[in-house]
Amino acid sequence: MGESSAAVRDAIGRLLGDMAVVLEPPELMAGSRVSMRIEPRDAEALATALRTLDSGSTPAIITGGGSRLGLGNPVRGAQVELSCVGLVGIDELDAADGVIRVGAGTPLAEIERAVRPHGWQLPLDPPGQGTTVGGTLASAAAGPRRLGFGAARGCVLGLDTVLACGDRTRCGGRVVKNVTGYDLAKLYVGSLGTLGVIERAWLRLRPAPRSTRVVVLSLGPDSDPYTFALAAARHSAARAVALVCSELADTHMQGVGHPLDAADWLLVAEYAGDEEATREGAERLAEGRAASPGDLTAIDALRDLQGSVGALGVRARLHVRPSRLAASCALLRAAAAQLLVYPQPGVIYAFFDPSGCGDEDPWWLDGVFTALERVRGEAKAELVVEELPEWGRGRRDVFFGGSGPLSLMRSIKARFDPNGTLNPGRFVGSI
Amino acid sequence: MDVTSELYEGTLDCVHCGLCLSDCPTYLDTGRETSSPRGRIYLMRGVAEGQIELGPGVADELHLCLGCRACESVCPSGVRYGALLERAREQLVDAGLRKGQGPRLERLLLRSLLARPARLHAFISAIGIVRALRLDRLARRLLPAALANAQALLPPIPPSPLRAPLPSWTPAVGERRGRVALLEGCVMRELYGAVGRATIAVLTRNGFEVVVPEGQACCGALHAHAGDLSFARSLAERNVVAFTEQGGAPYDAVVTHSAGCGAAMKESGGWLPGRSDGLAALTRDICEWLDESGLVAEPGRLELRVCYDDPCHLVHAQGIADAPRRLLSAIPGLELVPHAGASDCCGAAGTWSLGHPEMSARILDAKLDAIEAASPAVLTSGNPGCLMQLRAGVEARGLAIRVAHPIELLAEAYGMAVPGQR
Amino acid sequence: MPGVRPPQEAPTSRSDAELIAGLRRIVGNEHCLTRPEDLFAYGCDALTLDAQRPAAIVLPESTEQVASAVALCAYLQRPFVPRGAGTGLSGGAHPTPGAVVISLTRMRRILSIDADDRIAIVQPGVVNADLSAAVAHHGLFYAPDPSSQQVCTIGGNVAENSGGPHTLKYGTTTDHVIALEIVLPSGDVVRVGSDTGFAAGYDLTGVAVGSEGTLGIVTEVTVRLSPIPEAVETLLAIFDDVPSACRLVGRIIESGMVPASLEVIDRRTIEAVEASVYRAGLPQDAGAVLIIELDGAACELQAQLERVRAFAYEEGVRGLEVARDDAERARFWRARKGAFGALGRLAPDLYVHDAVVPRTKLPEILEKICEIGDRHRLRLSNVFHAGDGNLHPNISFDRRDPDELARVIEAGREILELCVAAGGVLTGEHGVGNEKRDYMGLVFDDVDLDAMRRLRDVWNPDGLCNPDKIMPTTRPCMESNPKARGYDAVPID
Repeated sequence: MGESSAAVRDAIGRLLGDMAVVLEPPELMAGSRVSMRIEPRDAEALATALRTLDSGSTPAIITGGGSRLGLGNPVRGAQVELSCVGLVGIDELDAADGVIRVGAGTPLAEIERAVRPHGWQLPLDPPGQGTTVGGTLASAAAGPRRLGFGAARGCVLGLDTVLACGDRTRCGGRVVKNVTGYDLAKLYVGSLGTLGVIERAWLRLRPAPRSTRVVVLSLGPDSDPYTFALAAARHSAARAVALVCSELADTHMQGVGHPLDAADWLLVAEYAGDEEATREGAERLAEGRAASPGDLTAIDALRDLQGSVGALGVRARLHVRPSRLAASCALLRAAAAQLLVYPQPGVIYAFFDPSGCGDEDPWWLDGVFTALERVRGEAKAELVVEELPEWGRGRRDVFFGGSGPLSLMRSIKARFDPNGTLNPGRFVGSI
Repeated sequence: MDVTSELYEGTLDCVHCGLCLSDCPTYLDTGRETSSPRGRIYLMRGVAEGQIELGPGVADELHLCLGCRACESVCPSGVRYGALLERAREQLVDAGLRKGQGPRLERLLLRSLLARPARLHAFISAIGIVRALRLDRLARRLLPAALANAQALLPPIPPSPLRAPLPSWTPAVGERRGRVALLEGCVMRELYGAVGRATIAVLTRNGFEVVVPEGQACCGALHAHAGDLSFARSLAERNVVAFTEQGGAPYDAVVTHSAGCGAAMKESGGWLPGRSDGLAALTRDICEWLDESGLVAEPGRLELRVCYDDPCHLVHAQGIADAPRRLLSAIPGLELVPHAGASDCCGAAGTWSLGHPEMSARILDAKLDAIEAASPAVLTSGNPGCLMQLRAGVEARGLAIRVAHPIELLAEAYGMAVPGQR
Repeated sequence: MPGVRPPQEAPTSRSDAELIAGLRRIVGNEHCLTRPEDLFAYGCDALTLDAQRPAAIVLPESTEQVASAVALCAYLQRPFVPRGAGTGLSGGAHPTPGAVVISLTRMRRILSIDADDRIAIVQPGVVNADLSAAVAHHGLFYAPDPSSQQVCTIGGNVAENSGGPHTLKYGTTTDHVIALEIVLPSGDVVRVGSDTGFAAGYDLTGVAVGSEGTLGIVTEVTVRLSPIPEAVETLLAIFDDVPSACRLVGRIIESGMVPASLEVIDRRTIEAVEASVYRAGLPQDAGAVLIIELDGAACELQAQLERVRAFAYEEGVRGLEVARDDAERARFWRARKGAFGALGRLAPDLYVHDAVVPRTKLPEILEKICEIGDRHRLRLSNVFHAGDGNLHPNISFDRRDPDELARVIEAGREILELCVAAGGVLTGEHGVGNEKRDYMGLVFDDVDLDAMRRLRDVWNPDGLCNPDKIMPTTRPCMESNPKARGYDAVPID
């Protein structure tokens, strides 16, 4: 750390007191070397911290549970981590209405534990351990159950957000239907902490299903896996349907208790709802096939797989229209990708394994990006590279420039965070 | 229009919800609020409240309306749009806002031709002769555009026996169930005499004695739509006398075979408050009456694929949609096929199509598309304006579809000869 | 604050002539309306209070024409207001004096339907119900179903983030729109979102939906279509009073069912409906009627139906009808969807409110709302989406009576304050518009509103695009601001 940064650090330390901790030695985080962690315990402290950082134009990495730190481009010049894990707590659980107000640092598992006894579930299932509400919303993370749960933004009723200037703002509310004012929650969710720091959220819960059923089966080379899986996903009780290619199934899905020999794909389906509906869904799927009844460990395995990355490899997430799944997957397979596919709403996780190539081989990485670009062009896929080796970070925009008007997005960033305090450089087009 | 008028009070029933928009042919064609029922009511209200002037713009919009009254069928507030329109058009006439050759000619035709059976008969005969001599193409060049269009719209002129007055009394066949009067109608008599005869035949077959009272007049619907309410009132007065004050014992019903006439008679209470209520209460559309009283004679088989297209003044003004369909379905072998937009206006709207030929053609086109898709052998509808418009459209497209009044099919099912079949 | 203001004359000047000549060149004479009658007719939407007169109305037929018209307005610094069918109830399509109304009713083509991927691309003027009708033969429908769905446009739905009776299960417009083409207030055309449902970058689609036409003019909408459920059961439960109906709603929701809709209409609404063309044969002496619609897999519906039936009897239902066929289902719904218009029969004007409260507080809030109505000697009736706490207190009145109008406005303010104090908000589906913008301070403080302004100013820096909507004209009232009083945990008695 240079002298000037040390000076900044000292100044911040003086202003923020206990909530700031010096990291010795500095930690490598989201592409930056971080030498101070600020961990506010409440909204006012968060506002003070941000005001302090912003007035000194000090860029900060905003973190939650740390499970999604690999996502995004490197943060430019950040030496400070602003961690939200201290903003914990369930403020209010309205068990009759099925709404809950929680601090951004609250782990999802804690919420799940709190709501279950009342017959509710939290419709968020991002991969990773210790994930927090704030991190899940900021990264709009979704897991295998995105089919049943929908996108993360769907359960957000209201957000308390602290802007870079320290303003504590609120949008939305606790009611389940609301068009009072601009829907700023949509802006903050998925913005990777670049517009404001989510401090608290009102979330809408879902009734916990009366029954769940998991079915695992394998699909041979002569089948049309996409059409089959899509049909499975379109049953009204389907909550998660995934196709796992045989290589990934071998390495990650051994524990689900289904023989894999001679199969191209492993299909995992979860049905949730009333007893009659889940039974019908499972029976319809298994009809005339060698299917194994699975349990929730299969879904956990999918979630772990989705969050994993091969040794120093690349994980990309592609969104395609369901009718383009086959073409997209063929292109990716040709580029040696291993695939996890959620046929509805059309999400593909492509894993690229560098083993066999030399260490830190830029040609290999360029090849991966070129292959992805091709799928993007030919199958009109939207894509994000979610993980890549540390040495490869910053070489390319992992959002591929994003889609939509970048200039408008830049203007929004400039208006909400004019001094570039919040995760500068991390988002689309290095915003 | 002023804030004390009945018309103004009527406009206040509208809460501006807009649920009428999608059912208005002129809104659908133009996309304009000003050309919608809600817009027109708002204009009437605006004039009454002094927010806008009663000027040519208001006149144009009120006359662009077809008067199909589809808006009334969907209006949750129960706005009586048709009555408001008639009153407002009357005020346009009073204010001298209906100027120029077109409206003058229209008024002349309506007052001096349509309402005078002898003249109308002579006129229609003249057209028949012109056509027989193949002078109609020449006439089309010489006549004012509106008249030429009207001429083109007319169906083939029936032979004179079919244009003779209907018999003034026809006894019931079999057991007598009642005694009804028939409104002969001006256009119906001249151009659709076969329908009148079919109506009498079906009624008598089903036990009704049919009287066609002397001294009856045109119903006045077209006059009222054109804003000539005073003339419409005088016609209504004659009909009150003819149908309720002469001829001995009261009739069980006054039957019409034209939806437009039926609507006008049922609503004539509004023209002659207190005076015409009895007539209004007695009036029944032929399909409505047969449906209500039930068929006693079993119809014979007719292997036909048939579409039924609702006349606006039956479905919207009188709220009758099921009765004609039930009657047609009672004919063994007849297959009633639904078509899209059956209750949408065909674009005829009395004399409206003459003044708005292009929009009328667009509205008719949509109707014909739906008919073509359903591909019936016979297209039925119970109003002369609709029959003319649909026939002209079917012919222009070269479709092999016969256009008929539902009662004609029923008469055929009873084994009657069909002299007027086109 | 809504009220009857004298209509202001539009400024006529040389710039008007220049503007109109330009607009005529863009859309053609026939589709540029400037007669006094047109300016009057386009002065308001379904909220007739506070009408104003625009300088002109244009009816473009393409994105290019919209963009050119907007660019011309931007060049001449003239406000412009997008408009769909004009069925909005918050004055969202009200012009400011001298503004240009850009009506999208002629852009009504369904551009593409992809049944396999369950998406459709439509122009903004497509009527909501027409889209569902056009995809029905694929076994699909467009889920958001505002009560005006037979006439309102998809573009208007996008602007207002419209809901409807089925939002309880299916969500609102924002949950079904995945991409938009937008003419920005500068006249530039941008595409946001993606037909895959995900677009890397800020969620501009999510922000644009519900922005009430203040961020730009939507010229193309990509929507998700939903599969028509395998089975539907519709029940009509008749109760002696509203609280009993609400208790049944609570039982159903707390049991873990997610019905497609739960709609309540109260006694006064029943009376009005039964006197209208939408009469459904409801008993006129009932205190409340609850429409319950369940949909989903046929195999599970029967059991759900039985559960609902059992709950209903436990809660003292007076009568319970299950629709035997589609015709009967339509009859039940006719009563609900025609309610607003039917209430129009009671008086010349109707004020439709749209507040939301936590569902569990419905009975006490409704009681207080009725008290407010009675205290102000107003004819107040209630229709509401009971499953999501979305209230529609309707006040029938005569705006020509200035005293009554003042009482309507005062009662409206009290209702909103009551709902906000209970943890609710100003509007659930009708939008803020110009109707409720001065109440925004009840829910949000200066800093919250400033964040919203930041967003708006990026898109609409000159404020020309649909001015005077959403954001308040006056300073928010701090006394009534819930945050100033210790956030939103304000108990109601």
